[in-house]
Amino acid sequence: MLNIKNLATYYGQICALEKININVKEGEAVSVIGANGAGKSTLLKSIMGEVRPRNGTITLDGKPINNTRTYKLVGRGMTLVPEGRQVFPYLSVWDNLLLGGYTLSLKERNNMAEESSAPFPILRERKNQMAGLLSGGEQQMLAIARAMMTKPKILLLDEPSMGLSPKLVYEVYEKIDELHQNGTTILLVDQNAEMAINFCDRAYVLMAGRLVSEGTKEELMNSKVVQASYLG
Amino acid sequence: MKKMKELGYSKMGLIIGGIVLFFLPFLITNPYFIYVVNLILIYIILTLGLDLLVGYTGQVSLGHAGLFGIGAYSTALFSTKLDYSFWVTLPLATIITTMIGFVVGFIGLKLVEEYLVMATLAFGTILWLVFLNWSDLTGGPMGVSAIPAPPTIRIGSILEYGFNKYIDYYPLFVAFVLLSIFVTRLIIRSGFGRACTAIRDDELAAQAMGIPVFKTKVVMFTISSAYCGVAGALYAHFLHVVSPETFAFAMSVTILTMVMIGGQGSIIGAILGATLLTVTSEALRSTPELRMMIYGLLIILVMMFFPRGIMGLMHLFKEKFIKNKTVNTVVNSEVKKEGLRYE
Repeated sequence: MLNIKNLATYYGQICALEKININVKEGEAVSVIGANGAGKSTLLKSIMGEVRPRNGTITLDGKPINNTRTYKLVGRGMTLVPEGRQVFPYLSVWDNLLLGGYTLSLKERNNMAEESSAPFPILRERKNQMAGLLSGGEQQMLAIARAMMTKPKILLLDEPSMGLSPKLVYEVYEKIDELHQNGTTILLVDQNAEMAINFCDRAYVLMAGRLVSEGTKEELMNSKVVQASYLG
Repeated sequence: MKKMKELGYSKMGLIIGGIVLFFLPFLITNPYFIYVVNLILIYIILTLGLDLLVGYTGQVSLGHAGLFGIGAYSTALFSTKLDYSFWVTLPLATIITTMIGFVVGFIGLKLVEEYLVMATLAFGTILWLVFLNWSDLTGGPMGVSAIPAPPTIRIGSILEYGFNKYIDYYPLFVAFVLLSIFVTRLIIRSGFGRACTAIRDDELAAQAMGIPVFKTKVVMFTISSAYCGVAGALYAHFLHVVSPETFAFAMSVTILTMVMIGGQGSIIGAILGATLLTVTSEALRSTPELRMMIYGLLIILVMMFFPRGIMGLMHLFKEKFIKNKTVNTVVNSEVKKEGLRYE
C-alpha cells in the first residue's frame, strides 16, 4: 500500500532522513519509534508532502506521491493526525469534525461526522463545546475522529501519546486499535516505544535520521538494542 | 436580562446597533457629525473586509490602502472621464479592485507571515506611487476632483431621492454596511469560512484535512479586496475628490489598527474599531503629526494588555462578572458566535 524507497530529506544542508525504506501493507499497523530529533515527524511530513524529499520515492497503491500536494493526498485516501493534536481550538467539536470532511459533500459530511464520532461518545456529548476546552486525551480523540471523516485507507499518526497521562495514552491507543481492527491501515510514529511496539504488527526503529532496526512486535520486544535504548 | 442571555450578546449588539443606526439621523443634525458618521460607515466596510483576511484567515496585509485607492480611483475616473453613473462605476470599481486583489493575493500569498506583510506593504506603496506620479491618468498629487454624486433615485412620481447633502448619503451607506455584515456572516459561517479559520489556527492540520490552503487564502484575499472596491467607490462619490495621500501607508496601518483594536475575528469588533479610530482621527485633525504616533502607541498597548481587542476585553468582563452561567453554557454560547476568537 505505502512504499518508501531510499528516502532522503534535508533541511538546507542538514540531513534529517537518509536511506529510509519502509513498507506498509494493506490492513497492517506499523510503528516507527525513535527518540526526540530522530526524524519521526520529518518522515511523516515527507510522506504528506509538507516537506519535499531530496531523494527517493514514495508510492501509495503503486502510484508515486512525491510531488503530490498535502491536501490532495486526502482525496487519495491518506490522512494525517498531526503532532500535538492540532485541533482547531476556537471551533466547536462538531465543526472540527465537519472540517475533516472538507472534501466531501455537505450531506456526506454530516453523515460521516455521525459515523466517525460513534466510537468516541465523549465527542458526541461535547459536540457544541469549543475544541480548545477539551482535555488532552479528548483532543487527541477528536483529532483521530476528524481524520477518519474521509474514511482514509491509511491513517498516519504523529506522536499520538504526546503530552498525555499514562491512562489516557492507553485509552487513545485502544481507540487506534479499534480503527485498525475495523480495517484501517495505520502508520504511526511515537516516542512511547512500549505502547507503539505493543500496538503494531511491525515496527521500525529510527535513530538520527536512519533506520537501525525493524521487525515484528515480538522481534523488537526481544531486541537488546530496543530494550536498552527504549524499553529500559 | 434573561431574554438578553437567550438571544446572545452578539445578536443583541447587532440589534442595538441597528436601532442606533435607524435613529441617528434624527438625533444628529450637525452636518459635520453626519459627515463623520458616513466616514465611519465606509471604514466599517473596509475593516470588515480586512478582518476577513486578518481575523478569520490569519493573513496580515498592509496593502489594503492601495486596494481602497484602486476602488476610489476607478470609480472617479469612470465617472469623470467617461460620465458613467455611480450605479455603473460602483460595480466596475469593485470588479477591478477584486481582480487586482486576486493578482496581489496570488503572488503575495506564496509568501508567509512577515514576508507576506512586506510584500503587501510593497504593493501598497507601489500603488500609492502610481496614484502620485501617473499624472495623466490620476491627476498626480492633485488627484481627481469633481466626482459627481450618485444620480437622483426616481421611482415614478412616488419617490425622488437626491444626494445633495451629507445626510442623503447616510441610508445608502447604511445599506452597504448591512449588506457587508450580511455577506461577512454568510462567509464565516460557511464551510469555506471554517476552512479559513482552520488555516488561521494551523495550516498543516488544515492541509491534512484536505483544505487547499493556498487557494483558500487567495479566495479570501480576493473577497477582502472586493470590500475595498466598494468602500473606495463610496468614498470617492461621497467626498467628490480623491488624492494620493488618502491611500498612503498610513491608511493601511489605520485599517489594521481598527481591526486589532476592535478585536480580530469579530464583526462587532470591526464596527467598534472603525468607529473608535475614525472618531479619534477626527479629534486629532488639528494635530495630524500626532495621529500616527497615537495609532502606533495604541497598537503596542493593545498587543501588550488586550491582544483580543475591545471584544476580548468584553468577553473577559462577561466571564468575570456574569457568574450565573455554568462553564458549558458559556462555551455553548461562545461557539455559536461568529469568529470564536476569544480566549
